[in-house]
Amino acid sequence: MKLTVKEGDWMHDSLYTLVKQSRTDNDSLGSVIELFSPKIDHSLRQTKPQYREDLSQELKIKLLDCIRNYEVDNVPGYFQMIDFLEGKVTQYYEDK
Amino acid sequence: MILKIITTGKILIINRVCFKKKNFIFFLPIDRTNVPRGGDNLNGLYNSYNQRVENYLDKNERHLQNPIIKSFLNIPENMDLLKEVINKPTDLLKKKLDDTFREFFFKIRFTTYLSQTIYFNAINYDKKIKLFSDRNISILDRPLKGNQNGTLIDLLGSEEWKEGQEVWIASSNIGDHLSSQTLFNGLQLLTENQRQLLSLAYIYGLKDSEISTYLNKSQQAVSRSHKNALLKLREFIETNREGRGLDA
Repeated sequence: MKLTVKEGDWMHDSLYTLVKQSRTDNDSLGSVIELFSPKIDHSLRQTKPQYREDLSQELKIKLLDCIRNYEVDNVPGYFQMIDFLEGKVTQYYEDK
Repeated sequence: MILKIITTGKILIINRVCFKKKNFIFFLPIDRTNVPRGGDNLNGLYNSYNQRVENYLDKNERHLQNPIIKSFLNIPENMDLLKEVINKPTDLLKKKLDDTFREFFFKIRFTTYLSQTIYFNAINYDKKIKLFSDRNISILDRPLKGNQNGTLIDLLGSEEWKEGQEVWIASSNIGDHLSSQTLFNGLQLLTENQRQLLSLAYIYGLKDSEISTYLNKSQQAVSRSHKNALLKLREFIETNREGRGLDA
């Protein structure tokens, strides 16, 4: 899948911080889901109109789970990444 | 190439030195303490930074081809930061670079993760809906058994079906509508009046009062007659069942 990161307000608002806060702060959680709503709307097009609202809700519930349980600290920093590329460290992806 | 020179008083501060290497444009931030007085040593300065950076890039060239790192360093600010770290590897700067990269990488990783989650869950939801509706077809939409094509609702709406029904409905004699032999035999015991009354009540669905108007009798007489007829039928069925055992 092609990854398109659109430039928008949220780019400056830092998704990183928002997701990190989502564990405790429902407003942050809401705004993360809001950020992905265009993607959700896009997915709705494939289903029958009478089920779209249900599907939209299902997806949002699913996202809630994903965002809350995402291990933000598992993302490697620059030096960890270089180490990882050199084959010194392999643990970053094991949990995924 | 000197990008920018600012004169403040007598000291010449070189803000940044910029050069090109492997398609990246590097901006070198220079520590004030390192700034040569009078700008006479610029070439040496440039060379020493150039050397260190080049060493680093050569050493890590393989990793710089990694798509994530490549796109990370394609952003001038990030390249700046890396330069700073190479020239002055303090913990603070290292941490800053680490955090910037982590945030950058996170954005890509997380976006991909969520996008795929949305995509696959949407597909799964569709499958679930389809499975559910296949298993729970409403009775009229169900395909007919045997070799017939179409659904039950098609059949009920068809002309052949209606014609078949007409013959059956047309009889106004209640005896023609019974499926139980015992009940039919019991019916023979009733008077002609009672049979007519039952026909009117159960084929045409008339009320006792309507029947009384129709037959020009009093409603009480019709009700009594109706009640007696049902009672007689019931007695007949029960005695017959006793005589023949439970299987009647």
